[in-house]
Amino acid sequence: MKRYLAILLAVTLLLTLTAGFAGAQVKEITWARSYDSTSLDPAEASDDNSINIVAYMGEGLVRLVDNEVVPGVAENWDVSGDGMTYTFHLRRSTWSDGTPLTAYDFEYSVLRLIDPDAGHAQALTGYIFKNAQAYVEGTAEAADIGCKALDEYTLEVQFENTGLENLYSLTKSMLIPVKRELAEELGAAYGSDTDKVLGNGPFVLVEWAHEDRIVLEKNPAYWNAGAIAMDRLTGLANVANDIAVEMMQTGVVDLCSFSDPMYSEQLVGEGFSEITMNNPYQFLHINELGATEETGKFLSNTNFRRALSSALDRTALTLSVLQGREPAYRLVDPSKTGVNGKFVDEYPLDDGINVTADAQKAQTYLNLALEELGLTADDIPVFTMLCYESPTSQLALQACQDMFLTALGIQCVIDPQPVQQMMGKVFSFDYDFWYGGLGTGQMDELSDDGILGYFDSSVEGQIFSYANPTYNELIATGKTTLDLQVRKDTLFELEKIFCDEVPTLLLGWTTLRYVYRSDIVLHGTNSAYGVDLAFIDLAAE
Amino acid sequence: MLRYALKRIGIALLTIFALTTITFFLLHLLPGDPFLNIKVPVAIQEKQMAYYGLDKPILQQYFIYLKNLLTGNLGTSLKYVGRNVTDIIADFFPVSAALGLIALFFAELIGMTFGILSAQFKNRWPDYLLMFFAILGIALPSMVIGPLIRYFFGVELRLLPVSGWGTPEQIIMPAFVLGLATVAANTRMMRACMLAVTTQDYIKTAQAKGLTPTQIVMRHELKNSLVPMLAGIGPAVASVMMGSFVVEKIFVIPGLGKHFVNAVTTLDYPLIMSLTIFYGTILVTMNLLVDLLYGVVDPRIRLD
Repeated sequence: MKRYLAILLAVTLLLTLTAGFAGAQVKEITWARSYDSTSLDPAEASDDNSINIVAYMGEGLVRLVDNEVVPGVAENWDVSGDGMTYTFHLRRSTWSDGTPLTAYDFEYSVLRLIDPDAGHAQALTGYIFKNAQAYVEGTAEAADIGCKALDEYTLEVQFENTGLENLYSLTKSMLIPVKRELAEELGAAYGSDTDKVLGNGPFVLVEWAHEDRIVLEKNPAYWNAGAIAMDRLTGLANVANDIAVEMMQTGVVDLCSFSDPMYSEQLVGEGFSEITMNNPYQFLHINELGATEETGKFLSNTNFRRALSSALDRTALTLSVLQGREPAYRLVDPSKTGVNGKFVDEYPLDDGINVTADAQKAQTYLNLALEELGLTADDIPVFTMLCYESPTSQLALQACQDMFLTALGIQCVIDPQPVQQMMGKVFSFDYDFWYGGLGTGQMDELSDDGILGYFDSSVEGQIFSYANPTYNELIATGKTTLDLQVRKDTLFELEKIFCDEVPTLLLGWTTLRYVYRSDIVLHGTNSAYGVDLAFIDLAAE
Repeated sequence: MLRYALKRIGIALLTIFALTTITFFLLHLLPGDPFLNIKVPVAIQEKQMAYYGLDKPILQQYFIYLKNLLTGNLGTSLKYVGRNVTDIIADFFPVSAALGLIALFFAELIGMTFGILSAQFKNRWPDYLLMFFAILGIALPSMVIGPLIRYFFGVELRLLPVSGWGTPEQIIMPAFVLGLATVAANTRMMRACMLAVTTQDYIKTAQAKGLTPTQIVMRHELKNSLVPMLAGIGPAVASVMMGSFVVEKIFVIPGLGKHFVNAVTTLDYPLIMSLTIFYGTILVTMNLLVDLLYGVVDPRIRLD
């Protein structure tokens, strides 16, 4: 009898233990990344795969969730009447090592970001604070910078300019705090390895095998740990598209992203889920100064630029060489919000950008341009088209080259370069056309990281040469207004100028396709960080 | 022998010095600079250049580099912010070296065996068959054969993992692809070397003495065919240990191969310099070792 009782007890214990283990099942996913992070220092992280990890490991004053600004370390805040000063009241939170996180950490982190001697890659983000740019340029002191801890849990932020975008700007990963003691001890090595970084966000870094894998585990010390469902996230680096497909098929990874629909469609056909997001614009930028005086004469003529735009068949481009992109029919991308709904619905634009080529219109504009310049078609020089030496870029340019030749008889030569040499030519204006991309902007195209600001000639050191005082004034109005209606109205006016005067040739929007295991539940996805892995969950079985 | 070795070491050091100097100046002749970025203000780009000492005159930079090199300081990467180049090489070189040496070991072994068999069955079907595979191995680039076998064995048959590094199963496919061209080249070379010695007088003597064909192959033909084979091993070892951009990319292996390409495109000066010097040093060392080995394999060669 005793023997049976012992067996019964053992079985019961085993079942209990098994049930216990089942209850404590680790929730984890593995995702594929096309390249590895280069730095996890918020002041240095400049590529998407570094910025995302920084955002999973850290948290700033506010956070962007589902494109909405929500409280982060700051529990709430007061705003001055002119929108220039924000007073943030911080919650009692800690670093992942359990030490308290205070307003002084934020003050230090901003000073470190714009430290003139360090030359941090992301210092520009810090220019939103009052006197930051002057400090970098040596005309202001550290004490003048608009980010001050009033006490341990109160931070006063004074912005350089007023505007609706200020709070959005604070969601950027570059403004995630760094712990002073560690940052000062490590110097430039901060964020370069597993043991050389410390966060305060939803996850902690437990392994970073460079160029191989990055492993994050849930941070129990995170103030909002209850909202984080996943226990572990593993990112595999340097996974090309074709192998990502095979890794999904064999269950090695659970989530990956593609620009080319060829890969995502295959996986969706096999039962995986998909979500698409608009990403940066693809442009054929125009150097209005021209690589030579001769080409500059033509490129600075508005009708000549209109002729070029009319000659482009954007639909054909996106169906052939730029697969996975959408042809651009206006400047503001369809995902952007207006005042109450979608911008494109609230502000319909009939005469935007032609999606198919209009050879007749192109020729009419060319004739007008030649008349204004007092030249003939024989005087049109050969133009140079600069691009990165990738096959996709060269194919895109070959298509544009052919369209210009067919519709207008304009000859172009393609100049493919390695990335840094290409940038050298861009900065020295040694090109006529440059195939590149620019961001759609965090809030909208008027945002600091949006496209419109690049053509504001009132700002020194611009890399584009378009100049229009009315355009500049509208930029200033849109950026500094505190009225959303005024901002969007201004954006619409800017869009009309952009489409009419063609400061650059917008080709299309890149669409990023996230493909994932069908039991993954996405939350908190936003245009700035794409799918936010910090807030995903797994559906109950 | 000692005098010869010392002389060769001296030449090796001079070679590495010349390599360092030429690479340094050629590199700085490239247009563009590593910090050009439309999202970074010019004022910040200038600070970055100053931080890494790239704003100094080129000669001054060169002497600073040499001084640091002599103290073992290879500098910090410009792309992987805050990471020492020494750490980067230490992280990735062991992976590439392990994969390369495993691939080379089997490639040499199989290639030489196939070459011997091919020579023994000259102009008969085993010879044609082996030569057919040898030509195929040379003609099929790794970027074609790699994804094919990855799909077949990884996805269709599920016999081997499609990617990654760390387990013995993960080594099989990349080592095969990496070694395939070497197998093919070695088969052809070994066959040619074996056939070249079969007409030698000492082989006829061996046959006259009544040695069996196997004894003749093992004692005379093989030993005398090894010297030309040995000449290719030095550079081959150095080459495979440095990693393959293509094979590492196909099988997602965290090796050194990609850095040779990426460091150049991103103008990561310290990384390019260090990789060049590192590769040069290994190549020169391997060639030196092979030269010294000649005397061991073939006592007729005097190293004076």
